[in-house]
Amino acid sequence: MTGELARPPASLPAMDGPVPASAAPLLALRARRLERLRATVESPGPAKPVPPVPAFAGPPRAWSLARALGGRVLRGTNGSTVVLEATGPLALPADRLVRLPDPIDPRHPLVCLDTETTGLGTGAGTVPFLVGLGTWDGESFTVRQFVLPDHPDEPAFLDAVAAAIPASGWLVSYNGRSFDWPLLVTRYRLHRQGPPAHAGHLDLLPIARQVWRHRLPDARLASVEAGVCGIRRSDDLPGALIPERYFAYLRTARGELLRDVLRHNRQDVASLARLLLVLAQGLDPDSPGRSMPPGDLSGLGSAYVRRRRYDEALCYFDGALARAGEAPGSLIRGVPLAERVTVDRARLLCRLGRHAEASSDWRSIAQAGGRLAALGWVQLAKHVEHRERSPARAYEMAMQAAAVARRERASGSPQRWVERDLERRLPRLRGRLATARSDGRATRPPRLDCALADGGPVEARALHDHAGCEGRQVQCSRIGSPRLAPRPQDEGGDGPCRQEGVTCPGPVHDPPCWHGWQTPHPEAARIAPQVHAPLLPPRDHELLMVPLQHEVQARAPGAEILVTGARQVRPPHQG
Amino acid sequence: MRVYAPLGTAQALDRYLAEPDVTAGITARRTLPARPPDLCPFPEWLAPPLRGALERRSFRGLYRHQVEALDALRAGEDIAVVTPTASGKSLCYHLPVLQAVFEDPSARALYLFPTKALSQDQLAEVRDLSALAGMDLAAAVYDGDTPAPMRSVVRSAGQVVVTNPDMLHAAILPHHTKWFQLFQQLRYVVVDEAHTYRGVFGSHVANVLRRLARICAHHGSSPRIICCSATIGNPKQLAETLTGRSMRVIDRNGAPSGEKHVVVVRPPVIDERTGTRAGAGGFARRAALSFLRAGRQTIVFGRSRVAVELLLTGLREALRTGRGPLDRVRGYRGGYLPGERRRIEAGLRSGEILGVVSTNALELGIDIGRLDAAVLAGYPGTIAGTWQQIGRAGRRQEVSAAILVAGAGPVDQYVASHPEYLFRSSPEEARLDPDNLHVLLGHLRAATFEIPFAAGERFGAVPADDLLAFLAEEGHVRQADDGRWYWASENFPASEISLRVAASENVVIIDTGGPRPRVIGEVDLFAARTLVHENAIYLHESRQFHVDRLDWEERKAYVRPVDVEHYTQAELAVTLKPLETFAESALAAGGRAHGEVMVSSLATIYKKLRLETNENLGWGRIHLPEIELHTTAYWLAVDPAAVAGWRRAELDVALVGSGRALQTVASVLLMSDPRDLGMVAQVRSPHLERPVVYLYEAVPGGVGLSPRLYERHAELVRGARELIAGCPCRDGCPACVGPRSETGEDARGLARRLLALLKVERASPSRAA
Repeated sequence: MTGELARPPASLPAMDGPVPASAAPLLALRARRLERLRATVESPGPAKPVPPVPAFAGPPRAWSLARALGGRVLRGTNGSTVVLEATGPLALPADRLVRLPDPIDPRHPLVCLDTETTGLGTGAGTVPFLVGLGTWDGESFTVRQFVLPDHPDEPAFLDAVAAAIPASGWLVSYNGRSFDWPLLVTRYRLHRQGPPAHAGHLDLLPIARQVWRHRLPDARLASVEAGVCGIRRSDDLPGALIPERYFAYLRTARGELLRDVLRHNRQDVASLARLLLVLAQGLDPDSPGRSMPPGDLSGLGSAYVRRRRYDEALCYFDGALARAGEAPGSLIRGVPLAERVTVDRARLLCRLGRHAEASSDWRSIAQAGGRLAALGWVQLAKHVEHRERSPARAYEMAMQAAAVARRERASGSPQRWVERDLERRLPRLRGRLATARSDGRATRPPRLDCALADGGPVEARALHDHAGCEGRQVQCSRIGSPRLAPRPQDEGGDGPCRQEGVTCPGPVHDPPCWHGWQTPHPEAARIAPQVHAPLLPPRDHELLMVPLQHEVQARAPGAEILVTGARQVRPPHQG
Repeated sequence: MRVYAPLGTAQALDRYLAEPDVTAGITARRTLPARPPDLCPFPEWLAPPLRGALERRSFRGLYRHQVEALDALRAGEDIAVVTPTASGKSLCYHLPVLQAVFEDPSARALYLFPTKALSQDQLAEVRDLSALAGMDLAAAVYDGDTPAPMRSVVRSAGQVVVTNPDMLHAAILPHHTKWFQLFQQLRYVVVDEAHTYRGVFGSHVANVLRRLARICAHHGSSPRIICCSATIGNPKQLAETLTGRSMRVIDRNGAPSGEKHVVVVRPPVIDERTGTRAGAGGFARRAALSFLRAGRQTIVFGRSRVAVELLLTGLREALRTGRGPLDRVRGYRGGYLPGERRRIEAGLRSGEILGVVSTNALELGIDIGRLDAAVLAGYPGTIAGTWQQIGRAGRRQEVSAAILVAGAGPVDQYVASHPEYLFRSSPEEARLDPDNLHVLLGHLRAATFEIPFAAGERFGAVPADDLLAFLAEEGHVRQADDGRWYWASENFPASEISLRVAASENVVIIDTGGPRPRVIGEVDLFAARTLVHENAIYLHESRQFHVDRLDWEERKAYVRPVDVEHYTQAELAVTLKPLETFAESALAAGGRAHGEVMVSSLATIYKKLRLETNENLGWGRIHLPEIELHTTAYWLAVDPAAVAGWRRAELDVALVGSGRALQTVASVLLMSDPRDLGMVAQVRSPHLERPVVYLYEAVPGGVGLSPRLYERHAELVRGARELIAGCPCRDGCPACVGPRSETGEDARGLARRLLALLKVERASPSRAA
């Protein structure tokens, strides 16, 4: 817009406008033309006769394009399409693909699909001008390419593509689910048609990301093809240049400009076939994954986890662990292969409820002392605290995790999530230990009672302790009033802690927690008269903050309430 | 202990007006009589469930304008509904849409609202209504906040899609093939708050609607258009220009209203010599207090974000010492987070919130129910805006009150001394130019991207071939052998156009005072330079925050809460440079011209002002980049020979004084928002090498105000001279040439002499350029 606004300062030549001197004549020319346009816009006048369509000059583009590319012309009712065909041998044990994380029904014919387009957007103005389809006939693989000779030929082009995709066909693409196919659908919609029917669509991009990405610089098809199939393209046309090639062809009608694009597309389609072959070989039912390196097996395992196919996932994790020795020094996301796979397996075992096996995996990770040791200790601490009910041992393990976290921070790669976890876990465990000691046996915090201004008995419920300020958030409720669910902000360590300038990390709401501890205490009625009034306004619930010492005087924040005796009630059997 | 007691609105108003300095300042007091409802029976064809839903809401019938709207749509007309705030305008579109969906569940409707907040508001409304009718309506908002998984559902199944023009332009129309279910079955397009679509923004929206119509035609639908607008001077023209269709205007309001008192108050002069008047803020605050203490729901409109925060601070302070409903008074403005705003709106509807201090953000039709009183701290700048703000007060049965407290600005003073301007003139006209070449070309590109153009096809009223041929030379469009024009570029043309003037980018304001950083608000890029520059005191809900750091690249301002006695006010230095003259002609002793200019603004310094007294406590520098505005201007150049004997200071005073008078008259003459025109006076223009007064348009590219000023020059100068001559002040006041303290001595005389030089045109039509 601003470019169009920038007309030269014609009537004020001496002025230093934003227009460089050399560009001025050009812009002046454009400005004059814009002025003429302005006249047509401001006084449209009667409708002008439709300008005659430019006379047809020379042979149709389709013919010259077909000649230049060595293809044939397919004439439709609404234009023409240029088709090229190439066939080569490529045996694919397609029946094995039924074992893929996203399985393919082997009865359907596979159709490898790749398009070249006039841009990366999927709006209505982006045109796929080349569609490559790869199909098998026995052990031979045929790539058929459909080229759009000119914009007006699009209906015929789309018809030809639709005719080449069987309704029972199973599409195989690379990022085709989110790009190529929606874009083709857009074109059919634009011409008021439905898209071609097909039975299914396998997008290899997510699989490639899971299985191979760990050993490749990126997940582009060319990189995967190079890294997995060992094929390096020479003289390949970079994808970014393809739209401009097509526009150049449209301007000049020189079909040979598209030769490189067609080769690029043919190779892409062939790559899809080759990647399928690699996958099929890896899915050998007799010895799954024998042909794949252990790192890929671990990725495949994760892919199965995502599809909730846990048996296969465990099988591939086990396979990867068993053969981890084949790839010494191989790292997955910066961690040795065996360690990474053990972690993945332990997580899966947890998910399956096989906690004993999981904890032995966590233990081996923790004791190995690698980068993930802190994770191992934290998981063990959880296990010991919640399943074995031993806060003391859990605390020791959390301390071990803290030691690893300190080491990692010292070595310049802090593990922030572990640190964050421990910031809450350690104080909480300490609190549990302390109350366990003071009560002799109970692992729950002491209870506090106080009374209402109108004399009604209340029950105080400790919501959580603020380790930072030695304070305790207490909810006082009229006995018999409905239970108030703790609000998130009440649990977040807000309120008095912050006012006192102490950052309090707040509680961990991880079960088991004392939030569920709530029946009215038989002692409350007996104790209430001893408490000085007035305490609380006659509301049903009040949140207070009281120091951890039991006999206290405290002012509730923000309200004129004097709390003169939030006091601990000993369990009845202790008198 | 309570020192206030509930009172009626009328008594609270009287109590305020009885205060001596207020009584002296009243320049107008009008009573708008109560109006009974004009009810019509439900149309017979209305679907029984809908009728049932309305009856459950205890409707005994529909208001006249609602019935007229329904009948006109039924007859296949496009309509423009122009009735005041809270007159049941939205039923004029909800009902026909629900009726259409009832008759045919595959029918679709598209709602366009200028803001996201309105979208949410009306979505809730239409869902409520359909639920009451027992209909299973798929209605959803589609905007930038819609989560990705929801989007495809809305695309394929949304019967009512609620969105904004920006989203329609950039995300829906270019992807119309994914929306084919909508566009095949589109029955209604609702354009609400149509009066906001004026100027360049309106021109853009008109072109977006042209693109929409093209796409509907392609997919085989021809929806009816329902425009709704606040009261403006030219609703029919606006709606027709905007939509390119002929519209039936429905403006006979059938909704009832109680008696309403409208009072204009001018704070008295407190310094005779300089003509300084008491601030509008204090008077507005007292008015609001009177209503709030009486327990009346009150809205206070401030003119800027800072003004709103200062008013809120003052109100709360007064309520604290006087024991008033302190917690029930809230602020509301752009920059508050959406959730906070929703809570305030709900609080106003439920009555839980008694008072709200707002910018014109609440001018638009957000549903906050009906309030008892509206207090306008300063003239909002337009008659239409004034009535909209006044319209926020108005119960169906009871008495309501609205008080306009005039500020010190020249336009405010003009309105205060000529209240008939407010009560008698028709509201401003909303202007837009859909055929603005720059706007048109941009949207033509986008339209070509969406669907190729056939030879001879028109875009709006304009034949497209010549324009497309022009675009083809730039290489993004090509004409193929079949004569059609195709998009032939990698670019995504819709992304190259931004519909709104204001930068869509925001600076988020992050409070670092708490245990973890927290976003407390946002501010647009342009305002960020003066609101959240480093060391600024940013006010939010009358709390003070100090801006520790403004990360301009990352668009983040880091603040922490403080409690200080001052606030800050930043100053913008504006420089202007002409780029091209479109037309010029000679005057008695000078020349007039209009053309293209570049206005650069730079935030230079900020002042620290004491909260209560505005006493200056110090200042600091602001280091932020310059922002450029490319626009059109009208300017008057004075022959240097004619003012040869003048002292420089005199010339300066005369230029600024006549510039102010011209600006005032121009805003009245063109019925435009005074803020649409900026003024720059240069004693010796570095570009024209003579004294010049510029009136430039505040909108990038301009909306055609400057050529009109150029054409109506004679009227303009005559008006300015009359304004100065008729002013009762002694030697310059804010209502004519500006307050004396700023422009020095005898500003009136000097300005009149200068205007005389610019008055008569010579016999020869033009000078050599």
